[in-house]
Amino acid sequence: MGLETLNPLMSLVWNFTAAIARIAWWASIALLATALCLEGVARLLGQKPQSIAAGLSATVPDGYAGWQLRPNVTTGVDWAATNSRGLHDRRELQLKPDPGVFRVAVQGSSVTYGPGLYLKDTLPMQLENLLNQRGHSAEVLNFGVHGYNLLNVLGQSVAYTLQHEPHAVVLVLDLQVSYPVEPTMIHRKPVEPAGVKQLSVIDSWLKRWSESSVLLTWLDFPMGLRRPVDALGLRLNSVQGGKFESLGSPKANAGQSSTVTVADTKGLLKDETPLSQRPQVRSRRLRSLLAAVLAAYRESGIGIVVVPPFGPYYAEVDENLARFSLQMIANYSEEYGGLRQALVGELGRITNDIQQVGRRYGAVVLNLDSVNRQMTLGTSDLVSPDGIHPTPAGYRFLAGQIADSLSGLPRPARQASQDRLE
Amino acid sequence: MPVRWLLIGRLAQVVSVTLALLFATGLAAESLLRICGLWPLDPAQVHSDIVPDSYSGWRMRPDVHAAREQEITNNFGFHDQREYANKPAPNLERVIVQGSSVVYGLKCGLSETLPRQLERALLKAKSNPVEVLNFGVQGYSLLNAVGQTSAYALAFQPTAAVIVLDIQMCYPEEPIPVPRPEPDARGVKRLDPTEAWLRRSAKHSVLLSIVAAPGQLQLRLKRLLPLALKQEKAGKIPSAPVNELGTPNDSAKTPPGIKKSRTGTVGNPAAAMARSRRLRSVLGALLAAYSESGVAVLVVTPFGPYYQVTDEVLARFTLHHVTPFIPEYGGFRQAVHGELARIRVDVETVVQEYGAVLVDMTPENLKLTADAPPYFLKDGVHPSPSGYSYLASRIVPVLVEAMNRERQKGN
Repeated sequence: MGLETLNPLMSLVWNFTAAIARIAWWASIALLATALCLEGVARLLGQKPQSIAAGLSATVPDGYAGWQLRPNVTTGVDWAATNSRGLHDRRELQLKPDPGVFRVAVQGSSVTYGPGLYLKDTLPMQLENLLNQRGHSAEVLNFGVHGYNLLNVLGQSVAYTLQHEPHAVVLVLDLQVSYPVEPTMIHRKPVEPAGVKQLSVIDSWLKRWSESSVLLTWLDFPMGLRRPVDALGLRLNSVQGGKFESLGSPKANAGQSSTVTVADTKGLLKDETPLSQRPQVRSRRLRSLLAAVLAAYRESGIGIVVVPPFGPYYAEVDENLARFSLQMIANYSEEYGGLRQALVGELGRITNDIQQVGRRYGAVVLNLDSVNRQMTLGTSDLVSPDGIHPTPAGYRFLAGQIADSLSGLPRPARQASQDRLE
Repeated sequence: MPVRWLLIGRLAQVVSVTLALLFATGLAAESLLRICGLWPLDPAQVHSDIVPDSYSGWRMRPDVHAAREQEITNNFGFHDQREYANKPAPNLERVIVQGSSVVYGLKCGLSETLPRQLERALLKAKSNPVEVLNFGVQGYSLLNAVGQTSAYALAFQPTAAVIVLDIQMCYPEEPIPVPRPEPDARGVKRLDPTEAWLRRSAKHSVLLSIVAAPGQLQLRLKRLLPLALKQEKAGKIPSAPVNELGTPNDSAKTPPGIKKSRTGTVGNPAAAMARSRRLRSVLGALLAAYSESGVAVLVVTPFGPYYQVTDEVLARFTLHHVTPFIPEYGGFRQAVHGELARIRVDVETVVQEYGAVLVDMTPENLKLTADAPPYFLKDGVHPSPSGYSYLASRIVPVLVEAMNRERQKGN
């Protein structure tokens, strides 16, 4: 068959392709015009494109602490703001404290960070205000990072917090922080730390371009449509009452366990610890890492206050308890014979471990047991409905307790050996 | 129209034939190179021999089954051919040895490394079985070791841990306190797509290996052929890993301020105090973590011929960590001795505080010369096989005693 015989067929193909191209061209023009109009209307209605830093993950990978907060998030909303050091603060801070300033570092998870709250309502800021009211020239730094546990806190302490030369450190050990994970050593691909995930090319493209367009912002984050739709008097969906979804921690860590259960292809990592010995194993891990954090600070002559878990974990009704963000405890229901029993048992174990190790390393450990035993969601407004994150009133209560302890900190044992060196 | 199509057809023909010829030539060259005894590079040679880690900064690249023993790592990235379970077998005591390339065993066969020599000596000294794991990672300081301990080492449930402190280990760095989108791991860089593809493919082809790492060809040809391509410099030390990781290498060769000390005393107590505080904090964290887990810990102080050598020899040692303190002490020798003394006091204090056991190598250091006995490589930092043997003989009696004591405490 010669090429000449293909001519009619070829011209048909050419004509068809040209028609398709014409349609595609005009459709693109129409789509672009519509999108431009929509973008213009959205902007006239006061909508703004999202900030790339807030639109991406709230955390970035780190080589020592697992991950840290994304720095330089300067969006309008208080609860996403971070400074250039990645601290949840709008103020820029010097590495070393100014002379005469009493610097306190508060470390922990999102409980320290204060998700969904104005900066003035977070624990560090309320503590700073309280200390200043009491006549100290205090500067309290918020080292809280979503999803942190003690393993992250230890890395953060030795790599970064010590460099800021705080005079005192407050460790807020909520339930999540008290279960340091054991990462697997076997990895053939780079491990994504909890709360940090690699975006696909399309996802990352969309995120980056959404910074310049309201429409793309809505495409990337459809919930952003809620506000303009509500403003128009329409309702897409009612906001769930009691659902307290933090920026990263509970969701990011769902499915994580404090014990090594990641089955390797060779079966090297299988956890064969008998059920009855598992609390001891967890205690050993908690004590080891807590001791390491406290030792690092003690050796630098820094005073330490430890805040044990704070929440309505004893008197709360079963229905509310089941709604709390207590995935880490749910893993141990089998050991204790139920969620409530597991919660009470684990709380007792954790509090005991914290008190013993804290005492050994010269830390002040707050006693929140009686408050925890009396508190319920119905009778107290100190904790939000997720059972983990305190409310502004809860933070105020904790700030008061911490401020009292800071004034009575014993002289750190480390000072003696420093004197010896001098 | 027909001419255009004919031209396109001819062009396609030429391209296909050229590609086929190129492919055939490549295959022939690949076969020839393999017949000549050249093989594709190991991953550790093509890539970096370390990989980033989220808690310890970096660690050894796992699963390197290289021809050269010096590069071998197992599934976990230990410098070892054996694979281990997370939990030691019943009645098997496990000892882990942590440190930098000094523990890893640069330029040593596997059987000559410190952990393996310790294992042999322990098996002779103890009645029950024992295994020793090599947790040494190139370029480590105590900061990395704390992350390694809390994230990984404790999970291996050791009976005892031996922390080998060379001079590099005693300067835990302070990472830049500003979060960056890229993970911070010195010596690990992100490759562009072409480079990454080339390096990955190099595992399967000698030709691509040569393109990816041309320096390796010279090394391999030198080994293969009797002809010397280039005279090897006498006294040229294989660069310590820390140097490969980007720290200025030349600072150790030509310390800028080598001069006789007038006073020999510390010139800046505040700066020395700050270094002491950092060392004590990080070492304290490490020892506390083990202490709470009931693990017996031995800490070995820096071991090296730093006293009975001439200034010239000392200047050739890889001691660039001390170089910045020359102005404080008035000379390189004084800085080395001053810092060694400070480190010893700090380590001893913290070791006592946390109930660990100290293996102080200062008495040996005071007597050692650069090559008599020949305990060290020319860099003055990494022991030779006989140096490791001596170190093992110093550690074993103390370690056995510490392990027995810890067992009695447990009972």
